[in-house]
Amino acid sequence: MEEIAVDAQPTGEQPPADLTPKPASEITPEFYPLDPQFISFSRTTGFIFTTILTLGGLVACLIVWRSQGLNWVTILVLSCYLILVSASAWSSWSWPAIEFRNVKWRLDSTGLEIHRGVFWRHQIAIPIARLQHADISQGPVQRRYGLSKLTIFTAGTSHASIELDGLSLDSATWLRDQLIRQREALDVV
Amino acid sequence: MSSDPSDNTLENHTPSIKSGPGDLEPVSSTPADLTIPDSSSSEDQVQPTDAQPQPPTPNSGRSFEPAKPSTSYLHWSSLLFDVLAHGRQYIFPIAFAFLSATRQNWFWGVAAIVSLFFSLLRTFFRYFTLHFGIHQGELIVNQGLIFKSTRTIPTRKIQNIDLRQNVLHRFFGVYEVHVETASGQDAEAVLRVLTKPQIDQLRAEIFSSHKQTATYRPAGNVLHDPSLTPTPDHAPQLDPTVDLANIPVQPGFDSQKYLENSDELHESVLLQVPLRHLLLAGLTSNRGWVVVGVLIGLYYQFVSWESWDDKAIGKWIRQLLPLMPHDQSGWLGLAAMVLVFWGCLKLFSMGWYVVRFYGYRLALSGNDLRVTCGLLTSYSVTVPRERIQFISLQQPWLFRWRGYSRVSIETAGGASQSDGQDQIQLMRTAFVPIIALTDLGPLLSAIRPNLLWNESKWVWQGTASRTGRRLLRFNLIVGCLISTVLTWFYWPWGLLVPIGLLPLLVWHANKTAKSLRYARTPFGVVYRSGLLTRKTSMTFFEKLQTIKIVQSPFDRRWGMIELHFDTAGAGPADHPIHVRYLDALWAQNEFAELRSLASQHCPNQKRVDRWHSVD
Repeated sequence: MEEIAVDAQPTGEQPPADLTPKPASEITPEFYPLDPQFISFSRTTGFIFTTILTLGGLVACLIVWRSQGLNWVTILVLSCYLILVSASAWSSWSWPAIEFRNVKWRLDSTGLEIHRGVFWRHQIAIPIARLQHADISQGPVQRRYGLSKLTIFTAGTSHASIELDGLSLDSATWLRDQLIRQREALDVV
Repeated sequence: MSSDPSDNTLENHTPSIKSGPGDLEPVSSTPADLTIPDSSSSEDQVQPTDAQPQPPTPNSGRSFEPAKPSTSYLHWSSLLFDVLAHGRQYIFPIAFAFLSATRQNWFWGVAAIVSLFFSLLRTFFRYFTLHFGIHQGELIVNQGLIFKSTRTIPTRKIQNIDLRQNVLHRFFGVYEVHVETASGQDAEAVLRVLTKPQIDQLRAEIFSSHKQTATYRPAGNVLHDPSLTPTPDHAPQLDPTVDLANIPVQPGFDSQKYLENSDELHESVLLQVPLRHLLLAGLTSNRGWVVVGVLIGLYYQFVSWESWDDKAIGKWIRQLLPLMPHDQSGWLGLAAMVLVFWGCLKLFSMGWYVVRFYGYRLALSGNDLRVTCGLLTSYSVTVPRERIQFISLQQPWLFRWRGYSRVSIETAGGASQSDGQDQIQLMRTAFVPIIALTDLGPLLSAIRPNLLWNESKWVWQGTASRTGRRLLRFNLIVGCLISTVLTWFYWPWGLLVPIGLLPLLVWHANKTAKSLRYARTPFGVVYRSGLLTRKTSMTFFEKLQTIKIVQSPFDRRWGMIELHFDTAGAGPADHPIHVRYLDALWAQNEFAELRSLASQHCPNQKRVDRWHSVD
């Protein structure tokens, strides 16, 4: 997995990692990208997926070959397999960079705003006061790249939870602390 | 085991309930601010303005009803209704057991009798052990003899108390009580069954403690105590303070007097629906299909024992084909039959509406909207005003023609599709089954203060100017596909289809483009859509949970944007506010403005002032 190099270093600053409280008005409303490690992480998971697909598909193809012989069904299955594996390999290599370019987020005095999506583009705004709670989670592969996933819960129905995957652990912690601090500032009368 | 109402079991239980560290409710756990001055002992009266938190004293358990014991029991007819309620589950096992008994197989019969016996035993135990009461701002339901269970519901979180009374209930003069909170799908507790005085007392206790919570919040310094700061979990439950805060708070507010009067809180009737209007409402509904469904179900259950499989449809068609008319009079007969069927359907719908909504009455009592209606089973639903997340006006074409509307509301939680609850759920979908448009404005202002229904003054934003062309292009593509397929199979008659279809497609595209409208008003956002049934839905800035922009590749091509608004209402109105085909530039600006508006209007004390100034 080490051979996967990060070649597309995106531009853009990372949010400040200091956890000193700031008044809401001082938070600059500029957009931040995800952590560039997100690309490596996505490629790693894509690589793992492609490997499993390749091996599983190979076994399936062998079974078909053994049972059917080399007839048109086997050829069809084999070509489907090859197309699928190459598509998976290609997308797990190039898709993360495309996805990365289309995700950005910002925090200002009104709340959190997340932009994402490549074909269907979404912009989600969560007013600070609507935040119920926020979770940070980290899977084993994410931990290797120092990444984490921030999940924000609201009382809504169709967007009861909003995920922001691919933040560095520092950014996620900073963002969560900022959100909760601002919300508390609203709550304590 | 004792059914003696004077038994003080609850008092014996409550210290152990209150001693747990997990019940740190921000308000209810500070008895100094909540306890009603005990009229029997005047020397240690707690003044409302005296907000010094005192440690909870387990022995001062009688908070709200000093004179009466705060433990209540179910009405004796509960035994009957519990058996009936559980009996429904036993109908099919018993029928099965009966059938097998006729075939000399007694095993299932014995099994059914044994299980019925245990169920009866459970009912008896449940009845004799269940007792409930209000203690320090919490509704406590105790149950069980060997395995005791105690359910504690903070009254502050109780959203609605819904009542049901069917004919049998009416005979005994009792009601089934559903206590609903915001969380979860089903009612938090079902008390089956209580008498009217018991319910009145329960209601008064629960909602007077609501008022207590609301009036003491600004006066006391409860929320300044850092240990009592609400956790995020409590945030949605805090919004009653928005509207409750409108109740003026005097420094020397006499809570005792207020509480005594809470039973006779002024109840103003907002709306009563005459029978004539109910019939009209029934005419627009398709409830009659339910009867058709039931009839088909009965037919297959009892008349025809043949199984329903993939061959059945073919058989039906083969049976029905010879019945198809061959001449003019036959066609006329068929048309007449369809008309009669449709008429029966509408008659069923009207009958259903009359049975369901007979004597509809909407009243405002304090801060709660109360609906009572029903001919056979009568329903009483209480909805606190500030819980309403979403209001939707729905007008089928007949309503629009005659100048009427139906009003649906959405509240947070309590949106269940499960059995028994669906009837009460219906009270949200058809909260007001029919209302004349002329009465709509005053009604909406009563449902939500500060809501001025002023359609003509709002700036309605239509769809982007290109929408008609976009929809027409989409329609034409679909129309071409259909025509091609039809022409392929039915040459040359299939060619007639596109000719007939074309004007329809053009009309549909233009009408749809014009029917979609959006307005930002002083209280929130309003969205209108629908060609035949027009729906106008509104939600409020402080109820907006998230705002979202969605742009599909097609949208990007046409320079358009979709705006989505998410609220805590769970969607019985079936009209999510997804405003489509908006001009991209305009919608981006609107999105930015809405972001700041939504963050300015938030359901807590601090921002209330600003909210009023906006209005």
